[in-house]
Amino acid sequence: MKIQSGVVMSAVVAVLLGGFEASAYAEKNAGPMASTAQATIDVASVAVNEARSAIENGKQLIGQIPANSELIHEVKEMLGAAAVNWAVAVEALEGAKASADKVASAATPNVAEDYQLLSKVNAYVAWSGANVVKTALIFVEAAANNKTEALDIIRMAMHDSLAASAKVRFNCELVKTLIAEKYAN
Amino acid sequence: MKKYPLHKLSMVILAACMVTCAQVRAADLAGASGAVAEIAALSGQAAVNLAMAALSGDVVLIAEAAKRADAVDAALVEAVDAYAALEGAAPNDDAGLPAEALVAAQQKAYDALYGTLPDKVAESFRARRGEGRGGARGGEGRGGRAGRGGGSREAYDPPNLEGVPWKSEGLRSFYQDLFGDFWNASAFGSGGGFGSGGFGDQVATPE
Repeated sequence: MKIQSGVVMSAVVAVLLGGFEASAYAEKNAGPMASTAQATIDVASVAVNEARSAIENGKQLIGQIPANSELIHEVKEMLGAAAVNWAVAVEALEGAKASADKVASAATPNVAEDYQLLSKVNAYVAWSGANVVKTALIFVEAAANNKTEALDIIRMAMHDSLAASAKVRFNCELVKTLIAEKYAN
Repeated sequence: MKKYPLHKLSMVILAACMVTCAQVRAADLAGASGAVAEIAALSGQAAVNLAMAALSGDVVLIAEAAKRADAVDAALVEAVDAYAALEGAAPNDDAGLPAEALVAAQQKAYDALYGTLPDKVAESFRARRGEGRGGARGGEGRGGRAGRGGGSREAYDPPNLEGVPWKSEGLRSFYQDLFGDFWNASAFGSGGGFGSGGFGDQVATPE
Protein backbone atom coordinates (compact mmCIF):
# COMPACT_ATOMS: atom_id res chain seq x y z
CA MET A 1 0.00 0.00 0.00
CA LYS A 2 2.82 2.32 0.96
CA ILE A 3 4.60 1.51 -2.29
CA GLN A 4 1.47 2.26 -4.34
CA SER A 5 0.95 5.56 -2.54
CA GLY A 6 4.57 6.49 -3.18
CA VAL A 7 4.24 5.74 -6.89
CA VAL A 8 1.05 7.77 -7.11
CA MET A 9 2.67 10.68 -5.29
CA SER A 10 5.64 10.50 -7.66
CA ALA A 11 3.29 10.62 -10.62
CA VAL A 12 1.48 13.64 -9.22
CA VAL A 13 4.80 15.43 -8.66
CA ALA A 14 5.91 14.54 -12.20
CA VAL A 15 2.70 15.90 -13.71
CA LEU A 16 2.96 19.08 -11.64
CA LEU A 17 6.60 19.54 -12.70
CA GLY A 18 5.55 18.96 -16.29
CA GLY A 19 3.00 21.72 -16.00
CA PHE A 20 5.63 23.95 -14.46
CA GLU A 21 8.02 23.31 -17.35
CA ALA A 22 5.25 23.98 -19.84
CA SER A 23 4.70 27.40 -18.40
CA ALA A 24 8.44 28.12 -18.08
CA TYR A 25 8.71 29.42 -21.62
CA ALA A 26 5.61 31.54 -21.23
CA GLU A 27 7.01 33.08 -18.04
CA LYS A 28 10.35 33.83 -19.67
CA ASN A 29 8.49 35.25 -22.60
CA ALA A 30 6.39 37.56 -20.46
CA GLY A 31 8.65 40.52 -21.05
CA PRO A 32 7.67 43.82 -22.58
CA MET A 33 7.69 42.35 -26.08
CA ALA A 34 5.22 39.61 -25.23
CA SER A 35 2.15 41.27 -26.56
CA THR A 36 -1.35 40.04 -25.93
CA ALA A 37 -3.38 38.58 -28.74
CA GLN A 38 -5.50 41.73 -29.03
CA ALA A 39 -2.48 44.01 -29.25
CA THR A 40 -1.06 41.87 -32.04
CA ILE A 41 -4.39 41.93 -33.85
CA ASP A 42 -4.44 45.72 -33.54
CA VAL A 43 -0.99 45.96 -35.16
CA ALA A 44 -2.06 43.60 -37.94
CA SER A 45 -5.31 45.51 -38.49
CA VAL A 46 -3.43 48.77 -38.92
CA ALA A 47 -1.09 47.13 -41.43
CA VAL A 48 -4.00 45.61 -43.37
CA ASN A 49 -5.79 48.97 -43.50
CA GLU A 50 -2.62 50.65 -44.74
CA ALA A 51 -2.28 47.96 -47.38
CA ARG A 52 -5.89 48.57 -48.42
CA SER A 53 -5.17 52.29 -48.84
CA ALA A 54 -2.04 51.47 -50.79
CA ILE A 55 -4.08 49.30 -53.16
CA GLU A 56 -6.54 52.15 -53.71
CA ASN A 57 -3.69 54.53 -54.48
CA GLY A 58 -2.07 51.91 -56.67
CA LYS A 59 -5.09 51.82 -58.98
CA GLN A 60 -4.42 55.47 -59.86
CA LEU A 61 -0.68 54.98 -60.13
CA ILE A 62 -0.88 52.05 -62.55
CA GLY A 63 -2.39 54.38 -65.15
CA GLN A 64 0.66 56.60 -64.98
CA ILE A 65 3.03 53.84 -66.09
CA PRO A 66 3.33 53.77 -69.89
CA ALA A 67 2.22 50.49 -71.43
CA ASN A 68 5.53 50.20 -73.25
CA SER A 69 7.57 50.77 -70.10
CA GLU A 70 10.27 48.18 -69.50
CA LEU A 71 9.06 47.99 -65.90
CA ILE A 72 5.52 46.93 -66.76
CA HIS A 73 6.32 43.22 -66.67
CA GLU A 74 7.94 43.58 -63.26
CA VAL A 75 5.02 45.64 -62.01
CA LYS A 76 2.68 42.82 -63.02
CA GLU A 77 4.79 40.32 -61.08
CA MET A 78 4.77 42.56 -58.03
CA LEU A 79 1.00 42.96 -58.22
CA GLY A 80 0.59 39.20 -58.58
CA ALA A 81 2.57 38.62 -55.38
CA ALA A 82 0.61 41.39 -53.70
CA ALA A 83 -2.73 39.85 -54.70
CA VAL A 84 -1.77 36.45 -53.25
CA ASN A 85 -0.55 37.97 -50.01
CA TRP A 86 -3.53 40.28 -49.73
CA ALA A 87 -5.90 37.31 -49.75
CA VAL A 88 -3.74 35.54 -47.17
CA ALA A 89 -3.60 38.63 -44.95
CA VAL A 90 -7.36 39.20 -44.94
CA GLU A 91 -8.11 35.55 -44.22
CA ALA A 92 -5.46 35.35 -41.48
CA LEU A 93 -6.78 38.47 -39.79
CA GLU A 94 -10.24 36.91 -39.64
CA GLY A 95 -8.68 33.76 -38.20
CA ALA A 96 -6.82 35.78 -35.59
CA LYS A 97 -10.02 37.50 -34.50
CA ALA A 98 -11.91 34.20 -34.37
CA SER A 99 -9.22 32.60 -32.19
CA ALA A 100 -9.10 35.63 -29.91
CA ASP A 101 -12.86 35.39 -29.42
CA LYS A 102 -12.46 31.82 -28.17
CA VAL A 103 -9.85 32.69 -25.54
CA ALA A 104 -12.42 33.89 -23.01
CA SER A 105 -14.69 30.90 -23.44
CA ALA A 106 -11.96 28.24 -23.38
CA ALA A 107 -12.56 25.30 -21.05
CA THR A 108 -9.14 25.38 -19.40
CA PRO A 109 -6.26 27.86 -19.05
CA ASN A 110 -4.11 25.65 -21.30
CA VAL A 111 -6.70 25.72 -24.07
CA ALA A 112 -7.00 29.48 -23.64
CA GLU A 113 -3.21 29.81 -24.03
CA ASP A 114 -3.34 27.77 -27.21
CA TYR A 115 -6.10 29.94 -28.67
CA GLN A 116 -4.08 33.00 -27.75
CA LEU A 117 -1.01 31.61 -29.50
CA LEU A 118 -3.08 30.72 -32.57
CA SER A 119 -4.53 34.21 -32.61
CA LYS A 120 -1.10 35.78 -32.42
CA VAL A 121 0.50 33.69 -35.17
CA ASN A 122 -2.48 34.35 -37.44
CA ALA A 123 -2.07 38.05 -36.75
CA TYR A 124 1.62 37.78 -37.66
CA VAL A 125 0.64 36.16 -40.96
CA ALA A 126 -1.78 39.03 -41.63
CA TRP A 127 0.82 41.60 -40.69
CA SER A 128 3.56 40.13 -42.89
CA GLY A 129 1.13 39.60 -45.79
CA ALA A 130 0.03 43.22 -45.58
CA ASN A 131 3.67 44.28 -45.59
CA VAL A 132 4.26 42.39 -48.83
CA VAL A 133 1.33 44.28 -50.37
CA LYS A 134 2.68 47.61 -49.13
CA THR A 135 6.17 46.89 -50.49
CA ALA A 136 4.76 45.89 -53.89
CA LEU A 137 2.72 49.08 -54.07
CA ILE A 138 5.77 51.13 -53.10
CA PHE A 139 7.47 49.62 -56.16
CA VAL A 140 4.49 50.63 -58.30
CA GLU A 141 4.65 54.15 -56.91
CA ALA A 142 8.38 54.39 -57.63
CA ALA A 143 7.84 53.10 -61.17
CA ALA A 144 4.93 55.50 -61.79
CA ASN A 145 6.90 58.48 -60.54
CA ASN A 146 10.02 57.42 -62.44
CA LYS A 147 12.11 57.07 -59.29
CA THR A 148 14.29 54.49 -60.93
CA GLU A 149 17.19 54.99 -58.51
CA ALA A 150 15.03 53.55 -55.72
CA LEU A 151 13.95 50.44 -57.60
CA ASP A 152 16.96 48.25 -56.75
CA ILE A 153 16.49 48.77 -53.04
CA ILE A 154 12.74 48.22 -53.27
CA ARG A 155 13.31 45.00 -55.21
CA MET A 156 15.56 43.78 -52.42
CA ALA A 157 13.04 44.88 -49.80
CA MET A 158 10.35 42.96 -51.68
CA HIS A 159 12.56 39.89 -51.67
CA ASP A 160 13.06 40.23 -47.91
CA SER A 161 9.40 40.92 -47.36
CA LEU A 162 8.36 37.79 -49.27
CA ALA A 163 10.94 35.71 -47.40
CA ALA A 164 9.65 37.04 -44.08
CA SER A 165 6.06 36.33 -45.07
CA ALA A 166 6.94 32.78 -46.08
CA LYS A 167 8.74 32.19 -42.81
CA VAL A 168 5.83 33.53 -40.77
CA ARG A 169 3.41 31.27 -42.62
CA PHE A 170 5.71 28.28 -42.18
CA ASN A 171 5.88 28.87 -38.44
CA CYS A 172 2.15 29.47 -38.22
CA GLU A 173 1.52 26.06 -39.78
CA LEU A 174 4.09 24.57 -37.40
CA VAL A 175 2.27 26.04 -34.41
CA LYS A 176 -1.03 24.65 -35.64
CA THR A 177 0.52 21.20 -36.10
CA LEU A 178 2.16 21.20 -32.68
CA ILE A 179 -1.01 22.30 -30.95
CA ALA A 180 -2.99 19.63 -32.79
CA GLU A 181 -0.40 17.05 -31.65
CA LYS A 182 -0.94 18.09 -28.06
CA TYR A 183 -4.61 17.18 -28.22
CA ALA A 184 -4.12 14.09 -30.34
CA ASN A 185 -2.29 12.30 -27.49
CA MET B 1 -9.61 -0.32 -0.07
CA LYS B 2 -9.32 -2.27 -3.26
CA LYS B 3 -5.76 -3.15 -4.18
CA TYR B 4 -4.65 -2.78 -7.76
CA PRO B 5 -1.76 -4.84 -9.13
CA LEU B 6 1.36 -2.70 -8.82
CA HIS B 7 2.67 -3.40 -12.32
CA LYS B 8 -0.60 -2.30 -13.95
CA LEU B 9 -0.69 0.88 -11.93
CA SER B 10 2.92 1.59 -12.86
CA MET B 11 2.15 1.15 -16.56
CA VAL B 12 -0.75 3.60 -16.33
CA ILE B 13 1.43 6.13 -14.50
CA LEU B 14 4.26 5.68 -16.99
CA ALA B 15 1.88 6.22 -19.89
CA ALA B 16 0.48 9.35 -18.20
CA CYS B 17 4.00 10.71 -17.69
CA MET B 18 4.92 10.06 -21.33
CA VAL B 19 1.81 11.86 -22.56
CA THR B 20 2.56 14.77 -20.23
CA CYS B 21 6.16 14.99 -21.45
CA ALA B 22 4.99 14.98 -25.08
CA GLN B 23 2.49 17.73 -24.32
CA VAL B 24 5.13 19.80 -22.51
CA ARG B 25 7.50 19.45 -25.46
CA ALA B 26 4.76 20.38 -27.96
CA ALA B 27 3.81 23.40 -25.85
CA ASP B 28 7.43 24.58 -25.67
CA LEU B 29 8.00 24.11 -29.39
CA ALA B 30 4.71 25.78 -30.31
CA GLY B 31 5.56 28.81 -28.19
CA ALA B 32 9.06 28.92 -29.63
CA SER B 33 7.74 28.64 -33.17
CA GLY B 34 5.36 31.50 -32.45
CA ALA B 35 8.32 33.57 -31.27
CA VAL B 36 10.18 32.87 -34.52
CA ALA B 37 7.06 33.92 -36.45
CA GLU B 38 6.96 37.16 -34.48
CA ILE B 39 10.58 38.00 -35.33
CA ALA B 40 9.98 37.11 -38.98
CA ALA B 41 7.02 39.49 -39.00
CA LEU B 42 9.31 42.19 -37.61
CA SER B 43 11.72 41.41 -40.44
CA GLY B 44 8.89 42.05 -42.92
CA GLN B 45 8.17 45.38 -41.22
CA ALA B 46 11.85 46.30 -41.47
CA ALA B 47 11.73 45.53 -45.20
CA VAL B 48 8.73 47.84 -45.69
CA ASN B 49 10.49 50.59 -43.75
CA LEU B 50 13.48 50.19 -46.04
CA ALA B 51 11.32 50.37 -49.17
CA MET B 52 9.65 53.54 -47.87
CA ALA B 53 13.03 55.07 -47.11
CA ALA B 54 14.17 54.21 -50.64
CA LEU B 55 11.08 55.89 -52.08
CA SER B 56 11.85 59.03 -50.08
CA GLY B 57 15.32 59.18 -51.64
CA ASP B 58 16.88 60.29 -48.33
CA VAL B 59 20.23 58.49 -48.12
CA VAL B 60 20.46 58.93 -44.35
CA LEU B 61 17.06 57.30 -43.87
CA ILE B 62 17.99 54.54 -46.30
CA ALA B 63 21.24 53.78 -44.47
CA GLU B 64 19.49 53.66 -41.10
CA ALA B 65 16.63 51.50 -42.39
CA ALA B 66 19.12 49.10 -44.00
CA LYS B 67 21.08 48.84 -40.79
CA ARG B 68 17.92 48.12 -38.82
CA ALA B 69 16.81 45.52 -41.35
CA ASP B 70 20.18 43.79 -41.08
CA ALA B 71 19.97 43.77 -37.29
CA VAL B 72 16.45 42.31 -37.34
CA ASP B 73 17.58 39.64 -39.78
CA ALA B 74 20.52 38.87 -37.49
CA ALA B 75 18.07 38.39 -34.63
CA LEU B 76 15.96 36.15 -36.85
CA VAL B 77 18.95 33.94 -37.62
CA GLU B 78 19.69 33.68 -33.89
CA ALA B 79 16.07 32.78 -33.23
CA VAL B 80 16.07 30.07 -35.90
CA ASP B 81 19.27 28.61 -34.42
CA ALA B 82 17.74 28.69 -30.93
CA TYR B 83 14.61 26.98 -32.21
CA ALA B 84 16.72 24.28 -33.88
CA ALA B 85 18.57 23.74 -30.59
CA LEU B 86 15.26 23.49 -28.74
CA GLU B 87 13.86 21.09 -31.31
CA GLY B 88 16.98 18.94 -31.32
CA ALA B 89 17.29 18.80 -27.55
CA ALA B 90 16.84 15.39 -25.97
CA PRO B 91 13.98 15.07 -23.46
CA ASN B 92 16.43 15.18 -20.54
CA ASP B 93 18.40 18.17 -21.88
CA ASP B 94 18.01 21.56 -20.30
CA ALA B 95 15.75 23.52 -22.64
CA GLY B 96 16.37 26.69 -20.66
CA LEU B 97 19.34 27.91 -22.67
CA PRO B 98 17.73 27.82 -26.14
CA ALA B 99 14.56 29.32 -24.68
CA GLU B 100 16.59 32.17 -23.19
CA ALA B 101 18.41 32.65 -26.49
CA LEU B 102 15.05 32.87 -28.23
CA VAL B 103 13.76 35.49 -25.81
CA ALA B 104 17.02 37.43 -26.22
CA ALA B 105 16.61 37.28 -30.01
CA GLN B 106 13.08 38.65 -29.68
CA GLN B 107 14.34 41.54 -27.58
CA LYS B 108 17.13 42.23 -30.08
CA ALA B 109 14.65 42.29 -32.95
CA TYR B 110 12.40 44.81 -31.20
CA ASP B 111 15.37 46.94 -30.20
CA ALA B 112 16.72 46.83 -33.74
CA LEU B 113 13.44 47.95 -35.26
CA TYR B 114 12.13 50.41 -32.71
CA GLY B 115 14.97 51.18 -30.32
CA THR B 116 18.54 52.33 -30.41
CA LEU B 117 20.45 50.26 -32.87
CA PRO B 118 23.68 48.75 -31.57
CA ASP B 119 26.13 48.91 -34.49
CA LYS B 120 27.96 45.80 -33.41
CA VAL B 121 24.94 43.62 -34.08
CA ALA B 122 24.72 44.62 -37.70
CA GLU B 123 28.47 44.36 -38.20
CA SER B 124 28.67 40.89 -36.73
CA PHE B 125 25.77 39.77 -38.89
CA ARG B 126 27.40 41.12 -42.02
CA ALA B 127 30.66 39.43 -41.08
CA ARG B 128 28.79 36.19 -40.52
CA ARG B 129 27.12 36.33 -43.90
CA GLY B 130 30.26 37.60 -45.59
CA GLU B 131 28.34 40.38 -47.23
CA GLY B 132 26.72 43.68 -46.48
CA ARG B 133 23.57 45.18 -47.77
CA GLY B 134 23.80 48.25 -45.58
CA GLY B 135 26.48 49.78 -47.72
CA ALA B 136 24.75 48.72 -50.87
CA ARG B 137 21.50 50.29 -49.80
CA GLY B 138 23.35 53.38 -48.81
CA GLY B 139 24.56 53.81 -52.34
CA GLU B 140 27.80 51.84 -52.54
CA GLY B 141 26.41 49.35 -55.00
CA ARG B 142 25.05 45.95 -54.20
CA GLY B 143 27.58 44.32 -56.47
CA GLY B 144 30.01 44.15 -53.60
CA ARG B 145 28.27 41.14 -52.14
CA ALA B 146 30.69 38.28 -51.88
CA GLY B 147 30.08 35.28 -54.06
CA ARG B 148 27.10 36.72 -55.82
CA GLY B 149 28.61 37.83 -59.02
CA GLY B 150 29.39 41.46 -58.33
CA GLY B 151 28.50 44.11 -60.85
CA SER B 152 25.79 46.66 -60.42
CA ARG B 153 23.19 44.73 -62.32
CA GLU B 154 21.47 41.76 -60.80
CA ALA B 155 18.63 40.39 -62.83
CA TYR B 156 17.92 37.62 -60.40
CA ASP B 157 18.10 37.53 -56.65
CA PRO B 158 18.92 34.07 -55.32
CA PRO B 159 16.64 32.44 -52.79
CA ASN B 160 17.08 33.48 -49.20
CA LEU B 161 19.01 30.60 -47.71
CA GLU B 162 18.77 32.17 -44.30
CA GLY B 163 15.09 31.37 -44.47
CA VAL B 164 15.58 27.63 -44.27
CA PRO B 165 15.51 26.28 -40.73
CA TRP B 166 18.70 24.25 -41.05
CA LYS B 167 19.45 21.89 -38.24
CA SER B 168 22.99 23.16 -37.82
CA GLU B 169 25.14 26.13 -38.68
CA GLY B 170 27.62 23.84 -40.44
CA LEU B 171 25.00 22.42 -42.75
CA ARG B 172 23.73 25.88 -43.59
CA SER B 173 27.24 27.08 -44.43
CA PHE B 174 27.74 24.00 -46.58
CA TYR B 175 24.63 24.69 -48.64
CA GLN B 176 25.39 28.37 -48.87
CA ASP B 177 28.88 27.64 -50.18
CA LEU B 178 27.44 25.12 -52.61
CA PHE B 179 24.93 27.68 -53.85
CA GLY B 180 27.66 30.31 -54.05
CA ASP B 181 29.67 28.07 -56.36
CA PHE B 182 26.61 27.43 -58.49
CA TRP B 183 25.88 31.14 -58.59
CA ASN B 184 29.42 32.04 -59.64
CA ALA B 185 29.25 29.51 -62.43
CA SER B 186 26.07 31.02 -63.81
CA ALA B 187 25.62 33.79 -66.30
CA PHE B 188 25.08 36.21 -63.43
CA GLY B 189 28.15 35.21 -61.51
CA SER B 190 31.90 35.69 -61.81
CA GLY B 191 32.14 39.35 -61.31
CA GLY B 192 30.23 41.24 -63.88
CA GLY B 193 26.64 40.32 -64.35
CA PHE B 194 25.84 39.71 -68.01
CA GLY B 195 28.67 39.51 -70.44
CA SER B 196 31.62 38.77 -68.22
CA GLY B 197 32.53 35.51 -66.72
CA GLY B 198 29.95 32.82 -66.09
CA PHE B 199 29.36 29.97 -68.47
CA GLY B 200 26.07 31.48 -69.59
CA ASP B 201 27.76 34.11 -71.75
CA GLN B 202 30.21 31.75 -73.42
CA VAL B 203 29.51 31.06 -77.04
CA ALA B 204 27.62 27.86 -77.54
CA THR B 205 29.71 26.74 -80.50
CA PRO B 206 33.34 27.49 -81.41
CA GLU B 207 32.53 29.35 -84.59
